[in-house]
Amino acid sequence: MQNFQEFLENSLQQNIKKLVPLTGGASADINRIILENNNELIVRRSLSKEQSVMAVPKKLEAKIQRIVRSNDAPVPEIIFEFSEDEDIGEGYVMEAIPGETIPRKILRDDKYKNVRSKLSFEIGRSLATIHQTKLDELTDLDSVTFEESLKKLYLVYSSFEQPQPVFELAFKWLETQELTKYDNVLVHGDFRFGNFIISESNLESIIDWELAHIGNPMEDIGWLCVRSWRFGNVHKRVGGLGDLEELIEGYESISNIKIDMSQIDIWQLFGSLRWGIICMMQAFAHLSGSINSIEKAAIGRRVSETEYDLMNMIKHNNFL
Amino acid sequence: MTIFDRPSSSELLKAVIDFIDAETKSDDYPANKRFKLQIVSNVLNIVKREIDLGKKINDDFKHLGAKLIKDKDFSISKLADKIKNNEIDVSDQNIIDFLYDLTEKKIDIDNPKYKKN
Repeated sequence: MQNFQEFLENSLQQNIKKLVPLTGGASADINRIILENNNELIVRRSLSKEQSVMAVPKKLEAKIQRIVRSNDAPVPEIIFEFSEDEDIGEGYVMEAIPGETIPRKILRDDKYKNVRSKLSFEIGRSLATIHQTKLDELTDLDSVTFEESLKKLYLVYSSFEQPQPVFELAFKWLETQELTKYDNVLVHGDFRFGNFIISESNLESIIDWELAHIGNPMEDIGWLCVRSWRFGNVHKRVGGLGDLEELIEGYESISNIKIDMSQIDIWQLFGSLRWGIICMMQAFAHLSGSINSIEKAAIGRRVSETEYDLMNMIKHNNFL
Repeated sequence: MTIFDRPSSSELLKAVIDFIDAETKSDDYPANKRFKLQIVSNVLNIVKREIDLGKKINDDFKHLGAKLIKDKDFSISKLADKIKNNEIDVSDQNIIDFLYDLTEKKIDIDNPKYKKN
């Protein structure tokens, strides 16, 4: 860490008082930089030369953020990028946006009461801005169809050799769905509470772009509706916060893309399946011996939550 | 039948869980360590519920599953393979009901609070 701090101090031409580790994403080491003058920045980097199977390289992540920001979507400003040896890794420094990311606080604390009432609309509108990003500057980003996503997901799932009847059923169900053909858009890929920075008055920023790709606009909306991120408010489909109608109103206020609820159902079911398989990935990272982690071991037993959600959707057509 | 004395494994786990829960609730316990210890408590609760209820659930589903796929050596893997290979009709309500009940029982062990109200 000392080398890394020195590297950052040299690059920023400022002394750092403290580097505070933050919870990482799928393949990111994230630190809050507290400068001598008490200003703060965030550094995100990947340390391993081996890229996660799902995450985009940090350099591309920074590029996406720059482009999205230039289109007026709420995204932190990139200060500088780096690509160094394996001790320092590849990454970027960005501005630290003040606000809250912890979903339970945003959903329950009194001080967020006012912002909560307009947040679904704002989130919908910001998502529409992201989806309007011109793709000609993002040709180095993978384009993924629904069929390819399913195939990839099945490959990951089957690599664990722990067959799950409910997941098999969900794959069959998804294979038979008719998808509306939308023009490709920039998909955030992990668009949910936890990756939104909220102040008492606004949606300040959308962070964690490591799963971004080109694809179907309904994917981000379906993912946001997955029951695993409603934090106890199960009847509020949009992240435990609001109703889907408010989100759609915000989205359609600036977008010509017309949202079809039946398509969101399909992508929500896909999202629950995807989250279930990510839980398996985490658990098997522990079980394989590559990381010894009680958090990763414990998340293996959250697979059943996604199975429960999948069966409620399939058996009862219940997406709440 | 067990040759081991009380406290039983479940009772021992309960004592550990109660100890951890009391520690994490005390004001002088460091907040940054509390979250991790709560995960430990959650994991031990899963183990305890599985010790208490798991055998009966396994036996029940082995019996029901054997009838469903007409194979006395039923296993979860076999059922998954049959769905994958289209050897059973996934629109059959009995299959859907079986899988729904199975997930409910798994949730009863893994996280009972997750069930819908």
